[in-house]
Amino acid sequence: MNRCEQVEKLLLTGESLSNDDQDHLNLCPSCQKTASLITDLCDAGKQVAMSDVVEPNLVASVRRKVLEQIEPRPARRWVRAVSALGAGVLGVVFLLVVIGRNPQPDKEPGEDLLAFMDEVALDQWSEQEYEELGIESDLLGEVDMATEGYGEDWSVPLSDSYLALEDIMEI
Amino acid sequence: MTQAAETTGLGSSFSGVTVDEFKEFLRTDTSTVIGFARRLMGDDESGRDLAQDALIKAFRHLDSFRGEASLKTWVIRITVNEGLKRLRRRRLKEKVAGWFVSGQDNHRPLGYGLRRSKTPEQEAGLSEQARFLDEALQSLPDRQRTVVLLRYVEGMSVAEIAQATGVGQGTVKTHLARALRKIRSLRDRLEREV
Repeated sequence: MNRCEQVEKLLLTGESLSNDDQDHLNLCPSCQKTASLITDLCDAGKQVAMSDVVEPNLVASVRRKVLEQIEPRPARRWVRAVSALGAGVLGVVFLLVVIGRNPQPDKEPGEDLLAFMDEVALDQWSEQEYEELGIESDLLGEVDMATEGYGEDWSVPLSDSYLALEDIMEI
Repeated sequence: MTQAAETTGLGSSFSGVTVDEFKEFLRTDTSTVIGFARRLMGDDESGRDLAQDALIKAFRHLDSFRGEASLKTWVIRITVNEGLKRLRRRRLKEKVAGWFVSGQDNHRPLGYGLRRSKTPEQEAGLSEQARFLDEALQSLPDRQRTVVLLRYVEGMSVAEIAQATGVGQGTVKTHLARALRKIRSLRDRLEREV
């Protein structure tokens, strides 16, 4: 028997048949066979669904396991809290050990600043450093001129020249 | 309690389904999900594992539930996707094991694994039609078997199956039509043998 597909999809989806389709179904043995098969499948499916009862124990077990994921049990929460606390304490202990291994030397307040100032005082000022300070080299020339003729001993270190320059600028 | 306040360690629900609603779904529909998963996988243990994992996955991804389908259809969709993945993996394992054991492809008919281990009482309680459906489903590929199960056992409409499987209604109809052709040819063959 050749298989007719005229109303097959309608039968599959359970859509209602038009009058023409119904007439065709009444006359076509192939479509009648398809309709009969679908009816059998529906009945069998219902029967399988009815007979295949899921045991209450199984349902309860699955539900309990899912709920455990949704709501962690208090014990689990407690364990998590203790673990977090333990991790925190370990972190603090680790920090204390690290600090204890590298103690900072005791210093007087302001000791670092005084050392720095000594270093600066000992430093020789170069022309480049003047430039870095924004003092023009012409002005340095004026310092030389101002000190000219006052004896050989006026050839002073550059740091002293700078002090002289400060005096000039104040004037 | 507001939805935003209902955050848990795993996720939170901001999609219109609250944690309480999900719990209610668990209370009413867990057996449906287990039943379907069992029929899809073909045995109790795999079905239970699949249902459990699908429900946990659904809860973890509640925020991606957009409410286009019912919660049940959405959970069934997760079950279908996960189940088909596991069946594929199972079949591959069997195939590889077959190569090593017998040196040849241990081919089984498509749909292998559907038949559940029924007790004689359960078997006796089934009608000829139900037994035939059980046999017929074993001969179908996974996707066709899935749509037949959803249509005739779970009683879903084509639109619901489309939502549950994530394919278009046309594709569902095509799968159903092809499955029906196979079942029909199987029935014809059995009738001829009788």
